[in-house]
Amino acid sequence: MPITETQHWPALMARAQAGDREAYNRLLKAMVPAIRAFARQKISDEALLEDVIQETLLAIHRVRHTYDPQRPVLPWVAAITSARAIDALRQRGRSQEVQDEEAVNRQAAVLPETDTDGHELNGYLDSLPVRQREIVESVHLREQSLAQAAAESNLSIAAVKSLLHRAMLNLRKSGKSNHEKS
Amino acid sequence: MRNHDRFIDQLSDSARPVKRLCPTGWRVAAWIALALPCGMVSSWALHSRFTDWSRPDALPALLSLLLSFILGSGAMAGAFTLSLAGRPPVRLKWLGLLALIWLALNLGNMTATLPPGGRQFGEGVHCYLFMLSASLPMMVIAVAALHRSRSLYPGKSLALAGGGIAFMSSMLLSLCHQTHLHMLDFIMHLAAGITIIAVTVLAGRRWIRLD
Repeated sequence: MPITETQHWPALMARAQAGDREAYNRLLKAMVPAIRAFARQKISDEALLEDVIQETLLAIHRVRHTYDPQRPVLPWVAAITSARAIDALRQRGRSQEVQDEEAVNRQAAVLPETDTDGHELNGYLDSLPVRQREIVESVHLREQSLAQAAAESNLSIAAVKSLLHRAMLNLRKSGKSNHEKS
Repeated sequence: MRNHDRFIDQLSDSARPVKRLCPTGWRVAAWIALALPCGMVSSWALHSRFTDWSRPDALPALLSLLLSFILGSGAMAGAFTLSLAGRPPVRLKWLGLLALIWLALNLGNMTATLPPGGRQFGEGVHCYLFMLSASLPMMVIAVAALHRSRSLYPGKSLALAGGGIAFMSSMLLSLCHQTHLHMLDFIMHLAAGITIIAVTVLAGRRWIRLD
């Protein structure tokens, strides 16, 4: 990464902290290759790597007030990326025991096969509480990532996963009861 | 390679001006200024006497009080620093050394004579409850302060903050305690410190984790 480019980052972040959205947009886009390089030191799986990049961007967004423009920006970005990568690896390790994102996705993938009729799908979705419905629509219908859905709904990724999990359980229940009725 | 531009556009569109955190020194000073009076008020009901500093054996107790304050402030500074990404790792060497001196001072300040049966244990329980009641508002203020910065290492940050709170509670206890200690009494002080650290970590984790 060219040093001259990263030299401007503290100034851009200072402007971003003051509310300059354009500077913030430029800075985040410029940071992506650095985040990718830092994350690649810990993660080899490409799909997980891209998830970690998004989670890092979200984390940077949430703690941008903790950055001190007097200090170098790369150690700050590296520490956040490293922590996110370790969390992602830990979560993946637990995925056999806990219902994780992949399992939720697999469950969701069953929906369109069994419910080809759009009206029927809407009926199922209507049976969900509003927040669960919104998250299902964001992640599975609009194909947003968990990080995107979390940013949009101002929730944590863990909360999004939990809402998705509960929504899938509710959909399963209502699917079963409808099946039994027919 | 996934294109993250849309996501970045979303983030930057929602970005509002943010207030930067104060330097760690100021944060520690603000915490002390707020937490100590609150700790005093919350433990007032268990305040039974004032320490007699005119006693000839008061010097070790006074040194122990000063060390508790330095250790409490140092541990809080460590917790605040550790919560910030990219800051150099906290060096606990000096804090560890001071903690050893504090321990040696307290062990040296123990009396060999035991008070009449049962009183020693009762005194210890009183000290345990005093430290816990003094620490509760300090915990709330520390977790609120750490919630503002969040932490990449919530467990470690909270353990350090818990240690700082335990030493500050011990300092407040020194202001209304005999200048000498009994073994069981001191064990209860240590037990209170461990309880405070455990409660801080367990209660605060959810609030300072960066999700």
